[in-house]
Amino acid sequence: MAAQRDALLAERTGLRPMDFDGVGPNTWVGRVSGVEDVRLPTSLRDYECRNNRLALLAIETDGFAAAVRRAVLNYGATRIGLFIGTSTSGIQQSELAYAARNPGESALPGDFRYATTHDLFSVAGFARNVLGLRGPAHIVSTACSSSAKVFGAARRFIHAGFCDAAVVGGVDSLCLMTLYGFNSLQLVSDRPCRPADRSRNGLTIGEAAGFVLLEPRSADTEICLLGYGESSDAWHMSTPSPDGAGMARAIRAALDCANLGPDQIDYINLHGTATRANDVTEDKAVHGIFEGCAPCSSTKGFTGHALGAAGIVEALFCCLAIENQVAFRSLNTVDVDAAIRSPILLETQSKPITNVMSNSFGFGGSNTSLALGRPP
Amino acid sequence: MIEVGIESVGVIGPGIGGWRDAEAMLMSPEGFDIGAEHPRRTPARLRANERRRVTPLISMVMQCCEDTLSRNRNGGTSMRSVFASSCGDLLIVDRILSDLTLPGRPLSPTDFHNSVHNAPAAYWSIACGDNSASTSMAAYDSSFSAGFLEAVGSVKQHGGRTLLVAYDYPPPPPLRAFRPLAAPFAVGLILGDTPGRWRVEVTLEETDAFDSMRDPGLEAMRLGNPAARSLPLLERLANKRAGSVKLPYHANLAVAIDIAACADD
Repeated sequence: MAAQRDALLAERTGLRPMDFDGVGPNTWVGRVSGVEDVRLPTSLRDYECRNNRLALLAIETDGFAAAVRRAVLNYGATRIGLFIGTSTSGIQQSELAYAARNPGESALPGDFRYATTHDLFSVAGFARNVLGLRGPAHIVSTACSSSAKVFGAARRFIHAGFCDAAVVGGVDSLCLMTLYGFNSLQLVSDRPCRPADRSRNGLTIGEAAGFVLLEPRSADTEICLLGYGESSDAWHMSTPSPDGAGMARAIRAALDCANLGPDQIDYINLHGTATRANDVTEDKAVHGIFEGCAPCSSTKGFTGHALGAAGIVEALFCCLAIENQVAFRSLNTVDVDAAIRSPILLETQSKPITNVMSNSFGFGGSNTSLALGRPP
Repeated sequence: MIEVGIESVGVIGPGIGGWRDAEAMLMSPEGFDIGAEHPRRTPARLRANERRRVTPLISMVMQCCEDTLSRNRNGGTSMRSVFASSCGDLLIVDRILSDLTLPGRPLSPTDFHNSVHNAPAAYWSIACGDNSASTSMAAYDSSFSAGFLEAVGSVKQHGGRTLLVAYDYPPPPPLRAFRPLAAPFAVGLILGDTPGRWRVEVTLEETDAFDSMRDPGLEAMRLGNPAARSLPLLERLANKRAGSVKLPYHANLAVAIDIAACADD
């Protein structure tokens, strides 16, 4: 978290020219350094894949594993839920297995493992083992809203009494499928992504892992999940409903759930992918509700679009905004699109921040907004 | 313990084109053939251009949703939804993985957007014009139990009704060797905060005990598809008798569902 905070405050991007795959589309990527060197515990070697290595990197950072160990002592291993968002899990292992076949050969190499790598639940099974959790667990996979939706799942499971606390997270790692898939939809920029900019021409794909331990509020609580809102566009598989109505519905639901008015939100972390369609549509939804009263930025110029992990990354950036009383600038944005009316932060702004909102929208019109803030 | 109502059930599986077929099969399982095709109907609610894009899996899920909603007494298609599937659409993923080995890696944009785990949920929301919240999730062989808990939690937290659909489809050959699913299967439930046709009490129990199917064919189905782990519950619902079932969840965890009362048809 300290490294993230420093980079956000220093306005330093983590994007670099494509260096993930030798051939690759002509683009930039938000590749996490050193993932290749991570080694899983010997007893969990079946889980070896880029996605689980990235997950372990995050679990072992910031004292997170120790915090979960304390929670296990407190609540019991079966009373802590685990909900992780991912879109492609360890599918890179299948990419490698398919590529390793000889021409005309159908069978995959014998040492290929499906359940512990490619399968969506792989990262949840892995994290359950690493953290010693024995309670409810599932993966949420709703494309780019996945790891925002895990907060809702945790809240529901705790409310229903299926668990007392929950680990939520998001893990998505670079793979050919997403790089070439978004490229086939002509949604990938050939330069670092430029959210809300007049010249924006697509997203930059990134990778990330993040985790949060959610516990019932206590006297020590510094930041709360105040509310969440979810909706469906019911419009199209890969383009948002142009009037922004679906997104607006999620934002309103989050405000209602948090019992907050639009004027009580001090900063909005936009989904802001830097595609032509997303940014202008999201602005219709945001401006329609906030009418310019809250400063906005997308932080994807720093991280790229981490897809199924974007929600958790940006929720954590919102926590940093509250802790540091600073609204982050929209990196790489120079000249704001005239069609965008919300106040886009072109400079980092120090200001009092009590409540924040984070938007995450995915393919198929899966919309989620989170409201985070100081305990009310 | 949490109380919810089950308002309606839908099932698609081998030789099963809806809940009426499933009821008959569960009462007299001798005729069940796991190798039988499922009766196919074109999803009526989809627009023609969307219909062209759907895959066999999406088609099966839509059919299951339509069957579930067809006996929905309270009317109205608008409700929250939970889509639970272990594998999603591996037919498409296999095509994408094969395309990625070709020179230039020519992916089909339609394949790519259909490959997201929430594609069936998206097509369903588009078909119904329903803006309600929807989640798509996975928990390997425990996907049905996980989805059931999420749907119960949804009803408990938000009130009203929630559609749960659990489904899986056997992968194509290269992946099938590593994830051998026996046959396509989909089950839909409408859960609500009123008693519905069945009033059930749900508890998460720390136990490794769970129910299986007495009939060997149905037991093979139960084990052959994560969505069919629901069969002991479906059998109980078909029998219209009070009683309880335990479904396996994660190791040493089971979802206990106590059917307290059921209304006549």
